Amino acid sequence: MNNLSCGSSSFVVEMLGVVKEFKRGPRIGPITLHVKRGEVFAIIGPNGAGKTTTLRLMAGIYKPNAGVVRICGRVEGFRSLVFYVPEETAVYSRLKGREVLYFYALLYAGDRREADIIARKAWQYSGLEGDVLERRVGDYSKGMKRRLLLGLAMAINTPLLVLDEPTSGLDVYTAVHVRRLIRREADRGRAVVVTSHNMFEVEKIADKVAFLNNGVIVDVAPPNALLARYDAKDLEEAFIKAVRTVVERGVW
Amino acid sequence: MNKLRVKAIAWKDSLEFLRDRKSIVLMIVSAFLFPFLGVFTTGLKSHQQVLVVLKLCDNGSYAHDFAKLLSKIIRQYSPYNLTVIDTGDCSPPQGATVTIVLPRGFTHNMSLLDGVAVVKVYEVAGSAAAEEVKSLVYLALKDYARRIIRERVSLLAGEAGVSVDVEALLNPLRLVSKSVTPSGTPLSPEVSEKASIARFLAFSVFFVLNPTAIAIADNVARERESGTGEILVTTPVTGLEFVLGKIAGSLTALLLAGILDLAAALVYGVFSVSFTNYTELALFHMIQTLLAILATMSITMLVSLYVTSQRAATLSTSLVTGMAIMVFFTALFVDIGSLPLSIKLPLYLIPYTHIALAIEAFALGEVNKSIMYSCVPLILTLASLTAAVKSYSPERLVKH
Repeated sequence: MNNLSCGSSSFVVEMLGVVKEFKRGPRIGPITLHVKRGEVFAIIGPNGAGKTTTLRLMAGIYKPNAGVVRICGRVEGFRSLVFYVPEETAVYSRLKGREVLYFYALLYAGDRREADIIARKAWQYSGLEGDVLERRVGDYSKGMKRRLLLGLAMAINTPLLVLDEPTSGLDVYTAVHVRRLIRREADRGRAVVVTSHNMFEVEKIADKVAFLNNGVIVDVAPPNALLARYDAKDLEEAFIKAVRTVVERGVW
Repeated sequence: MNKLRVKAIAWKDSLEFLRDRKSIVLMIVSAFLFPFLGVFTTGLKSHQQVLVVLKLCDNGSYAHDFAKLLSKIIRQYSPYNLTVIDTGDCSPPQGATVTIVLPRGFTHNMSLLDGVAVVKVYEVAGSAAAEEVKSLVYLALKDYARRIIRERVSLLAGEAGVSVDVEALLNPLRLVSKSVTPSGTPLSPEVSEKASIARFLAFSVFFVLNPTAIAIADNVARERESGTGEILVTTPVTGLEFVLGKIAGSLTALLLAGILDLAAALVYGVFSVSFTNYTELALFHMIQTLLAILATMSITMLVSLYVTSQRAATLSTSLVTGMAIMVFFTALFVDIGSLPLSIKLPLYLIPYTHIALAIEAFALGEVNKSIMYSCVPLILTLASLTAAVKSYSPERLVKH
């Protein structure tokens, strides 16, 4: 099982001048950001800003066209250090909840015994009832699927947890549960990177916030610092002011 | 390579397949439906409303003899009945699919030493049954003509006062055929029969390739289309583990397809033919089937990793199985080895060609050659697998 240590590296995530271009679609970057151990790092921005692409670069799905992505100091072979939960909670619908947990546990574990332990822990963290786990995932609600994956995310102790819109489309109770889990994982020493449209939620859980617009980071700072810097009453206002400032400066 | 991860992917894919009841029902239906449809369509022939009429406008003995022979042949080789009308009216009746008319003078002309009798056939244009009956009329004519020739030769010999072996006179040339290998080694009739069976066995390999290609393409495309690939590619699973896991996972579908095909074959009595004399050939055929499956899996895997939608994946399976059916059909009717190099070379690039050739060579007792042919699909499989592993890219398994 992975432990939360990141070796000698001082940052869990380092993105240095990262650019990602697609044949068809927008380009993002250059992006530079650092995420420390025990930090909840939120990336916020409008639709199409490049939030998911940034997370996919961190998760090793995309290779950058320029720049470097380092996870715990590694440029290659870092997938065992990351657990990624995408926005679209797609889970194998014909498998039972218990089987999904065991499947992913097998992919991270050293042997079946260890996989059993991970799967059991994941079940406990998910907060799902035992009989629910015996049902096929295809019958689960979006919230239940997300709980299942978050349970895994908690049980598989990777130094980096990447969550794309973790509370989107969830009911208020599940959203609160998810926010608590995120905070708890950071307090355990993991680096948690989240994206969100919900700026009020980000204000509550994030240690550091990055404003992303049109594929570039407009500003990065702790929420309070951003509020003070832009003389804003909330992050929504701060974001708008930050984007306006950049436009006025003629950066783009 | 982590075996646990390979097994995990295989286990997951197998479970998903086994719980896809609709697909399993369709597999069962198709395994039993296709042979049933074959039997059914053949059986439909006997349900055709076909009126075959023989109009005897000649009342002589030759006309009656020919009518008897024709009636026997039609009864023996077709599901139709011959209605004989003894009448003076020689025009074709309305509603008849085929009308055979023995006109007046038939017996007279037959009884002459050099007389030519006429048999008229009226057939409904475009009717398959009419074509079939007409070919049976030709058969009857040929048979009856030999009888008449025999009679006439005996008569001439009698007139000339000479003793003649009529059969020898009629068949001055005799064909003596012996089977040999392409290198000229004589073969026993058993080996020769084995070689004929081998052609059909080679063709039968095709039937397992369709479910093979579909299983692999579906297992890869589904990860991408359903969005589950996005998590899978971020786990520590490597390209090699992904490729091997997916292949192993598809074997469940393939095993079920194989069992169903075997069950359908048993139900429809395919195995009423004794294969006990061909145990070695049957075993070699199984090895070649396995090679064909592996080659199909690796090629489809490679293609599936490049195509980006379920539709394209399905089309790619049609491409692979289309290529296979082309080769196996060719091997059924054409001696690939005798083709000019310019045609042979592209065929040799397809692994299925070597599978068909290996089965044929084995049946002819050319073991070394058959092993050599078997090595080619094995090498192509390994090359495709290596290319698939190298082509594995998380980016390709994620919806953008």
